[in-house]
Amino acid sequence: MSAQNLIEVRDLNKAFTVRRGAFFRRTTASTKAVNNVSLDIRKGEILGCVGGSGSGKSTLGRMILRLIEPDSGEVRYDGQNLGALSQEEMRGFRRRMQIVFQDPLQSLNPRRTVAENVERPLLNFGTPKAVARRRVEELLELVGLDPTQSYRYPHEYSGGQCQRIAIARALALEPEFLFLDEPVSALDVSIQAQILNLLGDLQKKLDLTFLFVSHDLKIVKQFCDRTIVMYRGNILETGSSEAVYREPKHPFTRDFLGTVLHVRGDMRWEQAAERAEDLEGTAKLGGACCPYVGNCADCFDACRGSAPPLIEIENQRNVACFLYDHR
Amino acid sequence: MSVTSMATTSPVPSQRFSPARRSNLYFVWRGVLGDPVARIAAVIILLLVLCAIFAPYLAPFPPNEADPALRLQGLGTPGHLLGLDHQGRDILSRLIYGARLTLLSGVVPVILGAAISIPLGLIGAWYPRLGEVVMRVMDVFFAFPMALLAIMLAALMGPGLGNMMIALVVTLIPYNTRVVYAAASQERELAYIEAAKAMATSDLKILFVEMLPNVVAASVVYSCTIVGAVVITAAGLSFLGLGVQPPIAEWGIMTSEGRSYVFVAPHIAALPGLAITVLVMAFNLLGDSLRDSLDPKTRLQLVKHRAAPSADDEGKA
Ligand SMILES: Nc1ncnc2c1ncn2[C@@H]1O[C@H](COP(=O)(O)OP(=O)(O)OP(=O)(O)O)[C@@H](O)[C@H]1O
Ligand code: SF4
Ligand SMILES: [Mg+2]
Repeated sequence: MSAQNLIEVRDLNKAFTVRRGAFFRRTTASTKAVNNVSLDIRKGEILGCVGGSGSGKSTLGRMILRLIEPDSGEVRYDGQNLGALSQEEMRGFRRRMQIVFQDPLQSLNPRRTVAENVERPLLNFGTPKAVARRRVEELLELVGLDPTQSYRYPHEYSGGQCQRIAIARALALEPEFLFLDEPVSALDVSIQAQILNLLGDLQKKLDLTFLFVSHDLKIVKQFCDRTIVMYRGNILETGSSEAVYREPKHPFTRDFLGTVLHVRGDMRWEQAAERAEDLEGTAKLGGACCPYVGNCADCFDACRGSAPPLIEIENQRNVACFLYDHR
Repeated sequence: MSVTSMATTSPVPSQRFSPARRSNLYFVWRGVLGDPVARIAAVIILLLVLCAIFAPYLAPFPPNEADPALRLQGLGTPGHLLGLDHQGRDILSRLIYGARLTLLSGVVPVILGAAISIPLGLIGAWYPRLGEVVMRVMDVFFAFPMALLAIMLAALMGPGLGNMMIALVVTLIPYNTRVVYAAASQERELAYIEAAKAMATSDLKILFVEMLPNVVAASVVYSCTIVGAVVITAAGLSFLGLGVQPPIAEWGIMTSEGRSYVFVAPHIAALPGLAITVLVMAFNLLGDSLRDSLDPKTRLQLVKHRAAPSADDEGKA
């Protein structure tokens, strides 16, 4: 374990089984949401995670927070294997890692006031009510909201303001790690920049570590130190955000980036995401082969024989593609 | 742009209307009072409750005192405002006394049923395996029409007010549980519940602090709409000899007793029937109003919309 890694993920797997039909005659379909994923998140860095819809980004983050249990594999947080902890021991770690969701309004309890929403984590960990109230005011100020309005309900606030509330709540327990699951995707472009600024400022001020999920490579390039690229549950490429954006190595990243650049005329991320979903859709090959083999223009014989491992091709760059595997 | 220099932003609504931290009760109160229809409904229910409590003081005659000479006399008979029934009993007095049993057999089972259904539905939605079992058991109950189920249960337990109430509670549980279960199953998928897990909220708190306020409205509204059916079912049970027994004054019994005289003295059946209708409507209307005033999304507008421009109590935030 390297001292500078806050989180180490090793060989994480998760398949979802969806049951359909009634009691008898039940059919099951299985999706591999996360496939053998290993990664490190260093203390104090912003790690970006990009990929099309359904590529397993949220599932990966949820397993890191142990909101869902992995099928196999390990998440080590500050050296401690989270999977080995009892529920009670896990409670202690919950203080240290929090989550911010894509849909800000949905992530707040609609029938609780803003103050009640933000103070809940504090009360959970035994902060006296009066102290919690004062802390809520501090937190709301920290995210740029007027604390005197905290008796209001979430629906009275705009999307960007709700996201600020959600961020305040996530910071209440003074965590060191935030899993930001597309925190700006649901917001207007003009608001996106504000929230990203806020997150960036908070990260520096409070010395936080982020796992930042996005559809949008451009945002990730601006906001994140390093980036991982996911496709159908696999990590295809990692590297510094700048490098992944400037010089994409993996054919998927190139195509993905191409779709983003293609629509640069009007930089609507949804369109880019839609195009990316097209890339997701067509490949339906199973078994041992490169996950991208169905869409890859550079595909050759080796690609159908086995899945390429994620190997380091130059300093800090890892790519899972046989084009770069010269062993 | 730094965090500290960023101007604090206020919520969208104007500052002019800024109620202080108000409780749910405040909004229920304001919502009901501010809505003329709901106000009438609430007054009717209140009057009925008062009638039930103070029946001996309000009723001009004892409920079972008969004056055979005045049998079947219609409305406006001197001394008997609402006329007399087939045995010569004062109908107004019987209606006032009848409010007791009608509320007891129609409203109390609904409240008890909701009190059991809400935790049952919440827990069922939270623990899917347990929920599956619970809902399958409920399905068995759904196989029978509500009235038939109530009759079966009441027949099993024997006549009497207590047994009838238990039969009605049991009959109601599957319906109300399904309402709560459906609402809670939807809530469970929302991000705020996952956020609650991430901040180590205990299951009990997730269910009863986070989820409960979001599902209780559905149950309250449903309960209000079912009161009518329960009053009528209770009357039916009494009619079949499975509930309270004549000559006790109860609106359902009074209606069914009046059947035979529909052509001679229609008021005997019509008046208690009308009373049931009014009761049922009052609860339905109250239910609608409660739904709006329990929901933070609609209630502010309700209060704001209805507050007179000069209402200065709003200013003291
Ligand atoms: N609770 C679940 N039950 C069944 N399948 C699930 C569940 N959660 C996720 N999946 C499936 O797992 C796969 C990965 O989902 P995930 O939400 O992690 O993707 P994502 O990268 O976050 O996508 P998006 O960008 O749309 O949020 C998808 O195919 C999804 O359908
Ligand atoms: S391994 Fe082969 S199929 Fe997969 S991305 Fe590389 S070249 Fe394309
Ligand atoms: Mg997601």
